[in-house]
Amino acid sequence: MTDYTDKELLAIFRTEDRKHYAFNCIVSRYQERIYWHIRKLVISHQDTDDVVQNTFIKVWNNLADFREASQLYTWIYRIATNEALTFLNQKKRKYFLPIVDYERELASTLEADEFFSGNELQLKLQKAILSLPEKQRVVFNLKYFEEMKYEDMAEILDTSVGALKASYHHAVKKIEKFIEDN
Amino acid sequence: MDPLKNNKFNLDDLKKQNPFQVPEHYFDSLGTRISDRIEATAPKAKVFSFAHLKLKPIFAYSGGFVGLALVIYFGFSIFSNPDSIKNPRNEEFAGLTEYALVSEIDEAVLIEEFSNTNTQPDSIKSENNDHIIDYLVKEDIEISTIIEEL
Repeated sequence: MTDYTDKELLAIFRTEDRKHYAFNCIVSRYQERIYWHIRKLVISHQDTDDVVQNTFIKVWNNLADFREASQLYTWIYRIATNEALTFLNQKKRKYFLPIVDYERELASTLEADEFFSGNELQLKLQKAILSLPEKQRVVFNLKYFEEMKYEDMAEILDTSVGALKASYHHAVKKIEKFIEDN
Repeated sequence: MDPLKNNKFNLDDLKKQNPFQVPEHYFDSLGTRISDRIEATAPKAKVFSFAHLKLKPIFAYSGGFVGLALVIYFGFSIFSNPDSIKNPRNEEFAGLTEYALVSEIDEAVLIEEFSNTNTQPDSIKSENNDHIIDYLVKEDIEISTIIEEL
């Protein structure tokens, strides 16, 4: 849509008359990455759609206060991650489900999901990922599927690079064991 | 390479792919839907309305309590002492009637008093007539009319 850098888009956003234009460019640039990041956490397309919209509404409401202490994209990922985890916790509270049961519920919906096209092994992999604790799922998804740098992940999750490496290593081991056992 | 070899699974051997899909053209309209929602949630210019003049609950409850207390107080005082309700017009009328019955007024005295208050001395009377005649003459009014007026 545009060749502007994130920094340039932020500068444009701060001019009142081109605010909407800059925001639309930002949405256009990141909407797919943010969608897939959220989708791998909340699984359902409908739920993902809601969370993505909420994420960008928050971006709109807070972009004027963004001081560029981090990169724009890691800041948006951070909002998206928080929105997705908040959504999952709300769902668990709403249905009075313990954490393990809710993740099992999500895994079972995958099999009937018309927007899931993976083979049996892919399905097993997704179920294995859903068996991980929430934060570890985020770490695994960002590293495995998005191949994100640990430094950027550290900005998003506010964690040290060393802790993230350890978390990812353990996540891989858990997933391999889950698939072997199932 | 088979990732599940001899029942040992190696994640690195699994081909990376995204197994999720989205409805067709989903991303084409996502930006517009986000903009629409932002537009819908934007704060609108405030329009004055009496509906905005809401009391804080504490004041509303206090006001209600005071009103109820007043109703109970006056209700109780009226029912406990019904004589306290008086019609001042009736009371006044009753007083006058009572006065009329008790006092004995001589009718002749009243007539004399009335005639005194409504009669004027002759000097004043004739003085007034002179003025009227002067006025009528000055206005050139016929003598018959003057006599008639007098």
